[in-house]
Amino acid sequence: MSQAKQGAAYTYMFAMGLCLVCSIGLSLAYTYLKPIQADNVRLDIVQNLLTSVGYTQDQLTKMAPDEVLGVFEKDFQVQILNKDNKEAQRDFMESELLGLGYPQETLTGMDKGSLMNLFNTKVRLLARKAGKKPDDYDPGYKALYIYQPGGKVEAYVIPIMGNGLWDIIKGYIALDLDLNTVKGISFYEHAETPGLGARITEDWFKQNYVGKHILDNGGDLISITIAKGKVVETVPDRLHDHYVDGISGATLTGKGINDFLKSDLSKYEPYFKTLRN
Amino acid sequence: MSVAEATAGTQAKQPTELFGKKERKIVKDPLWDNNPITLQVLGICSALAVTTSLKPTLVMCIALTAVLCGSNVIISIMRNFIPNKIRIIVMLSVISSLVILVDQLLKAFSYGMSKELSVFVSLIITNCIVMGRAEAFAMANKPWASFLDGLGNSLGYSIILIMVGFGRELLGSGKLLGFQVIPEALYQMGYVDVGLMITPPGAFILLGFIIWIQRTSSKHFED
Repeated sequence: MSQAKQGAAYTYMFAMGLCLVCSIGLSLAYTYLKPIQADNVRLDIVQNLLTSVGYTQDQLTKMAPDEVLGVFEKDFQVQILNKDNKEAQRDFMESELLGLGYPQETLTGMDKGSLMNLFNTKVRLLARKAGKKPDDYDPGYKALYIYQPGGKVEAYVIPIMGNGLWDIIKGYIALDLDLNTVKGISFYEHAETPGLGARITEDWFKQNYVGKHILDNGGDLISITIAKGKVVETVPDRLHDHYVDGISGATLTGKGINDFLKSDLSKYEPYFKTLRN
Repeated sequence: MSVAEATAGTQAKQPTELFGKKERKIVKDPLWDNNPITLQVLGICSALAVTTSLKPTLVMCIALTAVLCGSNVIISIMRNFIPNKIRIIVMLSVISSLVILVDQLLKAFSYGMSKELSVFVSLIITNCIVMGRAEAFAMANKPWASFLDGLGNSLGYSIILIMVGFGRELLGSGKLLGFQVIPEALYQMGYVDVGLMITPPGAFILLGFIIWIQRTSSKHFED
């Protein structure tokens, strides 16, 4: 089939040449596209944050990327809480990370939330390297987004994250001022089955949560559970306020969400108690 | 495969024409009579996975067209230099590089779509049509003919995918490209979306019907 020599040396040379060309080409593409991709990811996350406080998909698609980020800058205040629910200082996280060899300019360029994520992962990683149990050394910092359009606080948003059926699901849940009524929920990262578990991103499902309550009558955290089927058919009347309609064929995705929603809410609950009073 | 063999033999003698009879045949054949999905039954996995609605289906078709045409042309240009012993792995490297490139481009310029298609873009690498055309056609033909062959086959693939996607979105969620098509009044009269169509068995059923119709129309029978 070919006039070229087919010796072993030629074959090796050809293979090496091909690898070189492919890898250089892909690295170039990756390097040039990375900033654009990072912007997309960031925009997607902020859009989801806005969805949780009541922006509709239509509104968001009409807004330019800069506008979306502008709303975030203007209307949201980011609070980082440490394990004892005291506000964590930016300076402290920065100085710790500087000690780990991160350049100052990188750190200054980061927003509070990303700084916190980096801090959390780095401390855990170091603990693991030192042979300690990462969980004991988890600084447990968490972010709280306070939505205050025009200076008046309207909602508290907390990030939620945990295992679905196939992979980690990430999202936000927004609570009204009473820190009990759900204002909205959104999911921005998941790998659930299209047409089944992936339907958690559909509007009807997210709308389910709006107006439900995370506290029971005694004021204790009960969270919100996804029912098997329709709430009105499967759940006793007194619990209607804490259940939402399920997705048929997505029981395990739902179970995952129930679990991490409850555990994430319970992390913030001690702090929310002090805010409620 | 018969096209490839037929054209491979006559390739050297015939003068190259841009859109001669032979070139038209290369593009037209895989569209229906020698369709890669319904006749050769290749690329079924993605035909089932991405067709729950029409929009991801269209993006998938565009992605596959780009990869298939690109890989066919590149393999064809290199065909006289590729050592025979490692030709399969060479094809695989070219194809996977192209797929990664398409995936990266989608992530940069159509982030929403890349999220929806998720892993299925990378799975183009395992789509037998791409490898099949490289081995059966591009290794033995000139770049222009290989490009046309890639185009024909990816269009043939697209036609079937769009049919399946059209049927599944319409019957499964009453929409087309995200717009409600089936009127609310019909739902009030008791019409219900066919949930089965959203799930993989729904795609199998539709695909089965399409293969039946296609084979009847082109009078193809298995021996």
